Amino acid sequence: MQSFLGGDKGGSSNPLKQIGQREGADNSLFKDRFAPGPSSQPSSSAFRPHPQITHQPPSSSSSALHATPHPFNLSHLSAALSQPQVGPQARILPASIDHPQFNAQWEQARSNGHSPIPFPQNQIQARPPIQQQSGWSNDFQSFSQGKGKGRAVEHEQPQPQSQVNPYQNGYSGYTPHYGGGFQPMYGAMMSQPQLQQQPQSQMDNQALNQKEMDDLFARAEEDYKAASEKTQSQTEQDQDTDGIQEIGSDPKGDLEAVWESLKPEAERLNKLAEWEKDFSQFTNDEDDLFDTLNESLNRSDVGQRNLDQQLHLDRDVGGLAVPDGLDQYNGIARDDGVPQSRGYDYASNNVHDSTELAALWTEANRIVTEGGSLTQAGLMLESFVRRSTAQDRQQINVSATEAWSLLGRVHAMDEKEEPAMRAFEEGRKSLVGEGVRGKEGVAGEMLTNLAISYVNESLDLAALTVLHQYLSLVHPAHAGQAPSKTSLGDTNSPWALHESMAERFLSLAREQWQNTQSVDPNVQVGLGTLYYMMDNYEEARGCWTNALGEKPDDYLLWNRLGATLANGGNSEEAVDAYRRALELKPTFTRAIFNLGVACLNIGVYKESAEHLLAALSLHSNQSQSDRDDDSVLSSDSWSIWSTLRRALVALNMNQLAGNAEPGADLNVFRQAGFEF
Amino acid sequence: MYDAVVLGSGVVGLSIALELQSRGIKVAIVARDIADDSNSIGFASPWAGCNWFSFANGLSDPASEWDTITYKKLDKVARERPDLCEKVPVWDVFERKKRKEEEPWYTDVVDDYKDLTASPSSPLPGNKPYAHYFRTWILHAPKYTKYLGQKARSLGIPIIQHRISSLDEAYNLPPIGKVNLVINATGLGSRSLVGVEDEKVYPARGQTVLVKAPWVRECIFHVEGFFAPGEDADETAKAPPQAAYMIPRPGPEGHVVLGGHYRTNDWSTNTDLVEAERILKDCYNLCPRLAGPNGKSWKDIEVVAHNVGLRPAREGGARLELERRVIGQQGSTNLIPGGVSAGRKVGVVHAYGVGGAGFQNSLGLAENASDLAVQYLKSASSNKARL
Repeated sequence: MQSFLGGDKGGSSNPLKQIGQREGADNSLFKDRFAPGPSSQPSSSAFRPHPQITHQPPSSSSSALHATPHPFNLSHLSAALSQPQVGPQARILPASIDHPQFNAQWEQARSNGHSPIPFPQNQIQARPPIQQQSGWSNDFQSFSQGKGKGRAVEHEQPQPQSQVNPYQNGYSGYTPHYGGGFQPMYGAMMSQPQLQQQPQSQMDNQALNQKEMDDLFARAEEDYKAASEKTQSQTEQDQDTDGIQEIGSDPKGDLEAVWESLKPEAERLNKLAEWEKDFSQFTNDEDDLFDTLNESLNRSDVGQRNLDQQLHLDRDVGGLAVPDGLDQYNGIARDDGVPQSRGYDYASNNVHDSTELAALWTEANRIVTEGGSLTQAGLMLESFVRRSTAQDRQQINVSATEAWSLLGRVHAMDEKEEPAMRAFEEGRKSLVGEGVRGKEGVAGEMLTNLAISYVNESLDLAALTVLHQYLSLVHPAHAGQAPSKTSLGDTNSPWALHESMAERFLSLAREQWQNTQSVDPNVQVGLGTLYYMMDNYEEARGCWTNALGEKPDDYLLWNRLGATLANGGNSEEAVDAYRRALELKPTFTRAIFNLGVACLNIGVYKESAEHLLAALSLHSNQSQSDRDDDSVLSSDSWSIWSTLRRALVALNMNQLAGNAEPGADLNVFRQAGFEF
Repeated sequence: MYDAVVLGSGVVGLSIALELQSRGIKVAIVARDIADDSNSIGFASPWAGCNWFSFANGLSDPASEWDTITYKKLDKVARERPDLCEKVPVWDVFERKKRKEEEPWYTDVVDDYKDLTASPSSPLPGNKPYAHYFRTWILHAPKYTKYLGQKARSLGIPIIQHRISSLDEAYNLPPIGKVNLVINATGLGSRSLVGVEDEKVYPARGQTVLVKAPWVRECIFHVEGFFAPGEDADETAKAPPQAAYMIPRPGPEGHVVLGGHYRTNDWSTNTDLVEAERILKDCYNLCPRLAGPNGKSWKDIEVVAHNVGLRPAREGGARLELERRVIGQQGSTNLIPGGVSAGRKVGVVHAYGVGGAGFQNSLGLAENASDLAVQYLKSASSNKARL
């Protein structure tokens, strides 16, 4: 950590970024978060070294980097900061791993009980020099910059053989990078495939050509196979040469190490008895573990959208600001702690309102699964839930609950907690109306997601209420009594409700394991949320990793793991988990936001600001759509702005910080030297 | 929407809010008494006869740093608003010769400092034998307070009049929303505000007589022994040593504030006419010109108003401190109005207990308080990742 902080020599180097580069970890998609992508301008900015030729630095210094292969521990990498770089232009650009392979290996690893091995040993990519990039690439670059969206979407493609022989350079071009291959542009380009052989000529294609994508994907897989064979044999030859083994093994090591980190947790799945032990320890250790009270009372204000307007009004009047409602605010608290929802606020003039419903639903889902602008997906789903009748939904076999649930999830992923809570609350109403039968999965996911939204807002009682509802709907035998403010009054311990709820989830998990030898991710998420609320980050971490054992590609879980690590004081470790989430979902605004928070807490403020600006730039697409209600927009993004201000204040950029508020032009920050 | 809430709109609260705003931090002010409402008795700031005359007890006293910063920064205020702030001479007169080590700590801070001894050719005010002389700032307290309030509003800082009973409430006031940082500049309120309840806070009653005397444009202080009341004094019989001072107000009215009253733990805001008469007499003795060119006695001084204010004093001096706390630790959470979520970890910067030094502390205190606020805002405990 010392060298972390000390690494910033006169602001000319960026410690985290160097780590990202030197770690040799799988960050190819993530590099726009940690390292410049090829679309970065070759500017002279000290913060973004030129991403030009990359090769494997056969330096012995690199071995030191990997001496401690703990997956989430960046601190061992800090040693790298003090080491000279191999060359000004050199950096490791590790390869990426495609989903099918990853999944297969994961599965294999799980069944074998050891870590996944068969990643290509040599994953160091040589990125073609910028001059060799395709015209498409350049076009893309100018396009994205012209649109004011410098945050590079990974647009690396399986390089045509004619361009550079990837294998000669150790380039494992097997993968249509997650997101990369399918990553639609934010905003206007959202439905365009990027995996294109002649991309420039196809820039105008509006429709997603699934066939073409499939073909390309298949081809990419072949490439991968060829690449792994080649690289494997190459690696064998290279085994004896200096430094290569470590370098080569590290990208694999990233995932392997991740798996290693999960393994102990996975093993614990076989020892449910230990849970009980842990839990009883945990409950006996109140003084240390429960330093947080947890009651959340009525919050009539959650959901107040026109705060901004209110205050502007006050300013306009110029008199003493005595907003309405202040005196009426000692209202009667709801006993279940759930804030009164005034219903969902729809964007007006939604551009998607003229699109056919089934297509809208399909496209929104495609964005969620494959990648793209979450803000756009949110607008699509809004339009869908507003316009679709029960009959419409029945035709495409979608329940209202499911639609609301997805909308809420999209908002939460997009770091818009309040719309997320409102959507989930609507979904909760629908669920009661439609009945839970046949929707257990949706209900579990939605209610745990809603509970998490409440936890993020420190509305613990509301979260407990929702978790109880999940139990009573899906696992009624374990539900027990509903938590309430009144019942809290009966106990001496303010944590009694959390403990009692955690006990129910534990007994459910135990029963499920005994009956089916399986782990239910939703139950783990519920339990993890409860531990998190009680500041028991160790136990919470265990729950996330348990759930990840079942759903290793669940980026929400990776982000939750990261947030738990971060709030438990391990921002450096959290970064790796966020990175994994972003590898899986490059436009995952919340993970980008969290990354900004982690950087702020680590003390790399410029990096922090750039991540936060990147998160805001994802939101700002929204303004290009037809949301004309500024206050809705503002309140959607305010928590990001607020964190950005802190980073700017920490950088002593007071004036800029003062301008950092909803409605500000992001170009102002670009002009100030921030790249995002 | 806001990064912090400032409780209190006295000179301390307003100065801190403005300093935070200038650093790019979004703040809102919540106060029981509003700066513009200068008739509020619950509010010390507008009543002060107001100049820079440091009470700091040497350089080891943190107030000396605040006062130094304020002395320097008032230069800018004076240039912008000469009607509010102006530099005038001050004589601090005394009977007993002071030793070298009793020299004030600020001799290098203020302009034109001189250690004077009276002579027949150059007598000192009140015919006292000794004086410290320097040039210092005077402020128009009510107008300056109002000016700070207007400046805050013009910069978009809302000032919301609202009475709160507990510190916890401030972290989630409906018109402001959730914040993790509160600046406690409640002055005397810190004695009763639930969650602070600082028993060291006490009122130090002040009473002044506002007079019209355009021909007096200097400060004269006779406060010998005033700041160090004897421990063994017969407390029932004796007030602190009687002091007197006069401080002109900037502006065309030609007003001068006459004072010298300091009574601890007296909450009365009624005017004590006996004390007013004592102040007028003592001030007349220091400066007969107060009664005008044709004045014969203190009775010829033109009285404009009698004012009483309660200085927000604190044993051991002002409290400037960042405290990390958890909401809902005091008593039942059910007692907290509104939807305050217990268990949230938050911060508070305490900035209260300045006593009669509020104005001269204000700009420096604001700087240091803002440093603490920034320290908190960029700390991990106030920046949470989201699940």
